[in-house]
Amino acid sequence: MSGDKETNHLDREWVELMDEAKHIGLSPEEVLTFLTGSKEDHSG
Amino acid sequence: MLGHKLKSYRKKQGLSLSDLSQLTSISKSYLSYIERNVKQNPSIDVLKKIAAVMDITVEELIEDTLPEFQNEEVLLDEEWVLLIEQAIQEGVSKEQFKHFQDYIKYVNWTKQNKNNGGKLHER
Repeated sequence: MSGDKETNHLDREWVELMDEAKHIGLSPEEVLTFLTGSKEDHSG
Repeated sequence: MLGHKLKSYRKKQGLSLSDLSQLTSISKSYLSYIERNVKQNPSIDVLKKIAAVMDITVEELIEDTLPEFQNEEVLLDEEWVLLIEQAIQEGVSKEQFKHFQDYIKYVNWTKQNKNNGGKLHER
């Protein structure tokens, strides 16, 4: 039960973060590049 | 308002003020003040105790009282929703994403600054 609540809360935070990304002029492609790039940074 | 919400949750749980007072170790009069919105800013410890008894999170208890959560649903295109899933899959933390946003904001600011010829205060 509490896990579901945490997931919902987490999702909502992500939604707000993505919404802000839109507002500051980021395109989905730029965000995707960052997301995949972050993974590469951690592995290297 | 927090008071109305607390009362609603309490009734839903079938608890009297006395019951809630015993379960939370918070005085009945203090709880009554919160419910009647006489006391509008209870401490986080008080909210935690109440939320625990109600089997909800503190956020759920207070979120409707916060202006930024009045319109809970922010609508995103499917493209952006997929990016959220991607972020979680890639293991990118919210903090990392916030830092990325801050960096982009800084880049935008420097671009704007250049366009203004470096004159920040000129209108």
